[in-house]
Amino acid sequence: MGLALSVIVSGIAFGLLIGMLAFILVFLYKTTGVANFAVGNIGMFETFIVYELWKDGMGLWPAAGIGLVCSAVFGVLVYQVVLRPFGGGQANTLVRTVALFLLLAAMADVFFGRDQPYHFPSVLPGGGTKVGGVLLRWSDLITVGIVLVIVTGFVAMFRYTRTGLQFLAVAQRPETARLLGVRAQRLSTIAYMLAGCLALLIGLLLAPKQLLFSQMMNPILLFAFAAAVVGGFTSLAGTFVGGIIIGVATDLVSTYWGSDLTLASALAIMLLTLAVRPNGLFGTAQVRRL
Amino acid sequence: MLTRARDDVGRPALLLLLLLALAPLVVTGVSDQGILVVAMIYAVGAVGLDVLTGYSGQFSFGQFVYFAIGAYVMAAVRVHAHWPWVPAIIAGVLAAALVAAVIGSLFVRLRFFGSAVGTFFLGAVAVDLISGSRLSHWTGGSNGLAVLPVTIGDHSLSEGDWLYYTVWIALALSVALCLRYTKVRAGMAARVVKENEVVAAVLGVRVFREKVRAQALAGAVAGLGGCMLALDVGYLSPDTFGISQSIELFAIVAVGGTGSIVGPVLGAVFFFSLVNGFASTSASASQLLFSLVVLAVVVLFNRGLYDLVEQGVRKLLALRGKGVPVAEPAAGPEAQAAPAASSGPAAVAGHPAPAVRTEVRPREARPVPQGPPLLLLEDIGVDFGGVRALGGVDLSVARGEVHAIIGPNGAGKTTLLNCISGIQPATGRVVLDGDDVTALPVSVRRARGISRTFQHPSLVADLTARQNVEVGAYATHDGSVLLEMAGLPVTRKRDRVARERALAALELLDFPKSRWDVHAGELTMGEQKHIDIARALANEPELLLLDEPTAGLGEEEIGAVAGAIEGVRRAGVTVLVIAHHVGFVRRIADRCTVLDFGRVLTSGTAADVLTDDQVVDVFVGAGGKS
Repeated sequence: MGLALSVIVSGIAFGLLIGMLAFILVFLYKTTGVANFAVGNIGMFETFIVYELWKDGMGLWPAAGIGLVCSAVFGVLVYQVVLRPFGGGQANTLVRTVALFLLLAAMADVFFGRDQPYHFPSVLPGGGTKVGGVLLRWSDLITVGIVLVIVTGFVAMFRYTRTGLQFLAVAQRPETARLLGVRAQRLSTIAYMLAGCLALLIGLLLAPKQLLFSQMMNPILLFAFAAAVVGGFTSLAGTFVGGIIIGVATDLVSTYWGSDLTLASALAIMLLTLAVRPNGLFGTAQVRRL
Repeated sequence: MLTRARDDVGRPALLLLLLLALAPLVVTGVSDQGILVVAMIYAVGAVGLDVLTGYSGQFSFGQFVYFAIGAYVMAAVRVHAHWPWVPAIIAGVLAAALVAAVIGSLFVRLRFFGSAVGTFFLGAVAVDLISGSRLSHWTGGSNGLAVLPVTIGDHSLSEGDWLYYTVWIALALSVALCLRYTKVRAGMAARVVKENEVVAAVLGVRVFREKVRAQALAGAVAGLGGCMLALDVGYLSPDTFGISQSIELFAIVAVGGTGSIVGPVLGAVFFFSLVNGFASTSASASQLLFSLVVLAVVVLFNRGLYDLVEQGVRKLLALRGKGVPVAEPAAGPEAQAAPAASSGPAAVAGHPAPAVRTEVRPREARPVPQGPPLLLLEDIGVDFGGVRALGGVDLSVARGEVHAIIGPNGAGKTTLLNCISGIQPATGRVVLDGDDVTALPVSVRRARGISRTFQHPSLVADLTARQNVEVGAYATHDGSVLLEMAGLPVTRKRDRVARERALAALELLDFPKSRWDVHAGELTMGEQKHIDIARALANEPELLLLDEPTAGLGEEEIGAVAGAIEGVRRAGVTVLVIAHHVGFVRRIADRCTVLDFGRVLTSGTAADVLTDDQVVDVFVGAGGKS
């Protein structure tokens, strides 16, 4: 029982990371109309940059700081150079993100990946504490804290700032928002800037746990997609709930049944949710006019 | 990128296949031939992926799952069950098709995004399963599985010219199969599904089934590609079938150009020759080049290579035959037609508009038709999350009459039509010709004689006007796609009947013959509305529902639509029409029902209703009277 509870706790912490990636996916989907397959690899590539800086003798925190700035710039570049020019509709943009996914993995392999995988120094303290026989790792608790802070920040932005309000408007009715004078491209640029930074954060939290290599984000990207679908793909809170569900379930499956079934179990949860509630747990059906 | 699908690519496909067949004469190096072999193997599956994406509007980022199934099944039944290689390949292809159909039917309910993610996921899961221990007695787990040599006489099909031409035959098969699919009813129906699923359902197309069929076809050819890959590599390992390969395959289709069958083949050859030509030094360097080129192509030429070639050839032809019209009716130059479509009434004057009947029948002289009503609505109610769209509507439409529904925006007119055609669930009863059809689905109501048009005519832009009508002309869209593709007499007869019915509908509406073979995307709004009516009429309905056939049209075009409706009524079809234009209603309608805020305000002869004070109030607004 103690093992199960410990697994559940670490599953929740992992689930919040999944939820954060799912949140980025939904956030970008709502503001730019396309779910970005490359988000995970953007985080991976940025983490590599931080790693290179650290390896060259820089302190971890300054390296992370510089990495954050790079990430913001990187996010803007992704939108302005890859996604925006000669806009070709939803399918075309989707393929662009997929091509970017491949490109970043290949770039990481060519530029940084000679001896991958690498051990990444932990940003967070090791060890933990026991509460009633359940092991609580400091890193997990801090992860939970970080995610809570970020969520609060976003909620505050959506509620109290003009930009946040514009994001909500674009998410609800993109055309109307545009007609009302919301500068959609500016918003998309900001969205990608934020997404770049969050992606780095996920990379930094994930890399110490599971080594740093070019394919490191593939599983969590899939989990995040599952979480977003389970959560409803329109609800921001839903993504975190979905993330926790996926995180805990896959952690339990891999502990008790074997790790080759983790992805399959996430897929199963996703399909099951869609079978029972086609719009996810928190989503609402969209009415289309004929 | 998903803009255009073609069904006139037979000759380009033949040309490309011929070139590939002759290529070994020029490309003699063993490694260069090897590159072409790999390109053709990818192309075998890419063509199927194009059917899925370009023609049925679905996505798959996990197509290598079916490559894997084809390859592993073929290799496994030979190793474990000692099957000869021909049945083994057939087993591989069938297994891939079967699994694709099953998985496809799970993913069909997910839309654009969901299916992209779902298939991506599937690709990753499949690699886990193949390399895991659970299937390892079949697949060899992460150790892999040897492919037993395949020979004809003394010749091994795994090397040299024999390998090349075996793969070439597989590619030719795949292309032929997919080309055939685009030509038959199923292919046309799939394109309606891609355009708009609701419209497809109203036309009697089994949306679910057509989507799954496209999945199965794509899966089958991917399975065939997998078998070829097995021949080529000789040893199967899970890494050969990862998500990267699936994504590359999709990228190849996108770069080659969706909706062209030939494009993906072109894309595959282009890529493998380019990538291997420049970066044979390391695997990751060639990956880098590959993804860079994909990105460049999808950003800069987002319609793909085939479109580029097509444009080039067209320009060349135009240069050569200066002043002489290009003798290829199926590929009408878009550039010329585009301005015509947007310039409104002037464009209509250029093409002979449907004859406008000027005679106005004396409305009052005609008695309201007697006998039991054809359509009876009792207490129809619809709620949209708290908003009462329809609150207990009763309506009776007599056989043979033209019944107009008028009312301000948001009165629930379209919702009422949706309830009648079965798209919108509602409370109350819908009775057609004495039978309660309330519980029947869209397709059955259509078979019972209810057809409809839409406010925005969702025609398939890349089908011709006539083809659009033909899709609506099938009495039923049931039946086996395999029989269709085999072209048996039964299905041919069915196609002929549909063609004749489409012809009859077009002639009944006086649609100008010169515009029959124009792509629907190049028609004027008025013409599109005509084709929409013809499409609904081609099913020979008892009751025709028209949703604002005059919206957005000029006076002259409205006259043409009115003439068309009179033609329809003379053919004995009952018409229920939503309209805003009072003159139009006065001209065509026997009776008229006014809806306001989801309720029937009044109902009666058109003349009475249109002069009713209450009705004038609703239309002009209370402020207008005072």
